[in-house]
Amino acid sequence: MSTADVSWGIRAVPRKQLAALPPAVVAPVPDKLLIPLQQNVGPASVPVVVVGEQVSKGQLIATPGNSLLGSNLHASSSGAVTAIEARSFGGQRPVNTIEITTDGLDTLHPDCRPVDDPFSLPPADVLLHIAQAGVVGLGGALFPAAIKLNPAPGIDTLVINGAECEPYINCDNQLLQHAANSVIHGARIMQYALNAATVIIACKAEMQDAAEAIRGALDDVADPRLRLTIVPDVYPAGGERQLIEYLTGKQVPHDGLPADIGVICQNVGTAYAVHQAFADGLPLISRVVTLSGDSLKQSVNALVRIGTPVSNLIEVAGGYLQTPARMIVGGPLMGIPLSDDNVPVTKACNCIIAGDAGSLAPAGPELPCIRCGDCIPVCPAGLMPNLLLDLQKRADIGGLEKHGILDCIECGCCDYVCPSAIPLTHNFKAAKQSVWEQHLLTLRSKRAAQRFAEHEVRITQRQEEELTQLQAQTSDLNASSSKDALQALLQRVGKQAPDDSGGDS
Amino acid sequence: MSELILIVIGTVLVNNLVLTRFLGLCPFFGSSSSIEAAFGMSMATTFVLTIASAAAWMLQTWVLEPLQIEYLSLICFILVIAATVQFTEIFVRSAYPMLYRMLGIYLPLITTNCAVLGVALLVTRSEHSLLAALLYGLGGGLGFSLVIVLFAGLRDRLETADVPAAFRGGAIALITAGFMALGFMGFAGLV
Amino acid sequence: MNDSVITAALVLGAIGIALALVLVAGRRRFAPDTNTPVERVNQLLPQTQCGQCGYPGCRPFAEALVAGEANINECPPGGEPTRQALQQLLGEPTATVEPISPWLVAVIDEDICIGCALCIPACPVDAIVGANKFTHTVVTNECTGCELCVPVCPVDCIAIESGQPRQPGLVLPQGSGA
Repeated sequence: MSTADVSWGIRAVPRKQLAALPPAVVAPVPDKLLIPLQQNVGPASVPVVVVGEQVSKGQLIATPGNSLLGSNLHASSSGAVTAIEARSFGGQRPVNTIEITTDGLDTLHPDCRPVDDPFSLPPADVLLHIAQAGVVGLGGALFPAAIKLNPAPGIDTLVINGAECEPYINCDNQLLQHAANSVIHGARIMQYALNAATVIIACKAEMQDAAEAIRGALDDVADPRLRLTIVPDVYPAGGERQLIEYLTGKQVPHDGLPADIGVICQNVGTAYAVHQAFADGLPLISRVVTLSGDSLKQSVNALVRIGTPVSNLIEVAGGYLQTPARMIVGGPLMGIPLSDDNVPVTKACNCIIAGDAGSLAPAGPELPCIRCGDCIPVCPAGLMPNLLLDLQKRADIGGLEKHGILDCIECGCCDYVCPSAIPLTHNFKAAKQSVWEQHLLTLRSKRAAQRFAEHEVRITQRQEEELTQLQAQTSDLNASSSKDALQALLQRVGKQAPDDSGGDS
Repeated sequence: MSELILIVIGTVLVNNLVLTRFLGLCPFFGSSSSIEAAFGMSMATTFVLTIASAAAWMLQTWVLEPLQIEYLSLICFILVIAATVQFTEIFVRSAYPMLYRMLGIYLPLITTNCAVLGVALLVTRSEHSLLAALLYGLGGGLGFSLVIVLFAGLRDRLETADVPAAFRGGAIALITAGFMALGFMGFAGLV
Repeated sequence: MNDSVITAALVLGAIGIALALVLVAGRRRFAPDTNTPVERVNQLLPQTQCGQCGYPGCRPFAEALVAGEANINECPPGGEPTRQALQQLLGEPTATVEPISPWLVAVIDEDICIGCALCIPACPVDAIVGANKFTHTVVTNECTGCELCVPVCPVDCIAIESGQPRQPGLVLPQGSGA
């Protein structure tokens, strides 16, 4: 495929460090590891350790519990479990967290043994190993990888998404430059589990060093089913649906999943985690995190244990230049603001930005929409943000759905170009919630109407039965002599003495 | 043939009933609150206009003039218009009950729509053929439809626009209609 | 002069009768459709069948609304969203209705419940399970919060609480799957 351009998105994304990146700095294991129990799509995991218990690195500390959709969590280093309670991080809602006070020994758990040849195992065992290792989608969605890699049959393409596109973030770029062989190994394991015919590794045109490293790794493997495709330097070309359409030419149905068109997409970090689960026998206990922003002395990529507080990582980046005006986990377009650096690194954390007042200045005051239409050509999902905003203002749920609000990927392109500084993405998130709630309400009232109809039928039937019975009894009484009739009646209700009215009890 | 085409273009654009002749303003403002209502009203009015126009011509040419009772023309036209509107109402109530509810009182008010009587009188005062009269009515209806649907769309946009408090509601609607009328002046001299 | 008046009268009369006949025929041919509006209105109502509007169920309320006998702000379980939807459909602006959370559910205090089974037939959607002398419970996913079971309970063990948005018809434990 060529690097033919796409019509949507934002070009010339600023603040990307693309040239040869140094290897990731290994962040030291902190004194306390804080591991939130909610690190996957689905319900929070359930702890299988208790306070006071000694754990070693890679030991299982939480499982999905009763849920089908969940993932394992592991201790990122050895130490003692000192607390399991709800904690609030960075001004977000409290979440149950396991706190481990490390002992500095970093003892590996004996169960963490490498698997020699994953390709000799049955695919089901491969998936089981991946599930046990707690691998979830590291592109940000945190979907349990073992479930995603086990769809209905008919997958022909596995896409490995290295098309990292948000400003500041380059953890995937770094991983590809220095661990391309491992990423390819992980990709091949996933291909084996899926029985996919093709694997496409995607990276951006500007990530030339990463592309070279991938090509080198592909040459080593010499498997014609795997290939590299360069993707245009557009934000958000790394969005799953946009990337799949670019690579395969097929559109993921708007109410469906990539698996519906035979494609599975996984992040390069996830592929690396799969590689580690087999080659090193390690569950998912660390990831590469980009530390960046004008309030830090330097921008680095760090290899961080899951659960390390961000405040510990600031030293790795050389410390603060000044108190950051804004802290964001994620990127500036789609990330989540933090109120402080007292936040642990979770599986979802790909980047921490400590910005100063100048570089990430908040947008100006919100002005009315002037219908300039700048938001329409940039939307990667082909929506019309100005129309959606109008519909949201008048609370037209039906209209919002009809014009595709549920297809919004919340990329922030429309926010970026809006001359009136309207917080469109924020509005659309709220609009989606309204639409989903409306769906539930409609479902509920349909269901209640159905149950009421059935209830009425049941009551009517019972009344009719009682009426027929009563009529039968009355006709008996009228037909023959009273005594005969009385006998017949008593026989029917099975009583000896005249007592109680007839009918069931 | 070309005369007929000119009649249609004339009545739709140049001599638009609402924006040039300023007839039929009541349903124009009353039924333009939503595009659906506007569309429904435009269909109903076009139907009535066409029938009324043709019927008026036939009555005038074949009954009133031969019998020399032209002075009854006004009453007869009103009779025909009222009956046509009532028939339209019966049909809409049966086939499109939600539209019937949406239009409400404005449906029977087509009877008093000065555009309908106006077209009937215009057609009978001029030297048109039956076909021309029919097209005159149809063209008038199409022009009305065009304008009321456009206006409904504009009013829909105005709902969420940042209109100054003093202008909200009827005032901004009237101003918008005025601008539309100014715009339609551009068609003058087209035919 | 006389002839003219008679002609005029005759012509007017003839026109009048002809038009009247057309209208009568039309009336016969196109009977008014009252069912569709009632159905459309009924679809907007929350179907709690609670009777708080004063009508025995949602469909009778819909019929009254279409007939113009009821007001669109008389449905508390539907709340403001339903009033707005009804206003859009029926086109009658009125005062706003008291907002009520749409996710109210009944909860039976099982320690107090004596198993008298009086609440079971009271529920219009059969959301209470139980039998005589056995503790009853409300199937939360099916409960519409209509409150019809509350006055019937002789020991006042039913409370109305704010529930979470729930998908009805779901019985098995489910992950929340985004």
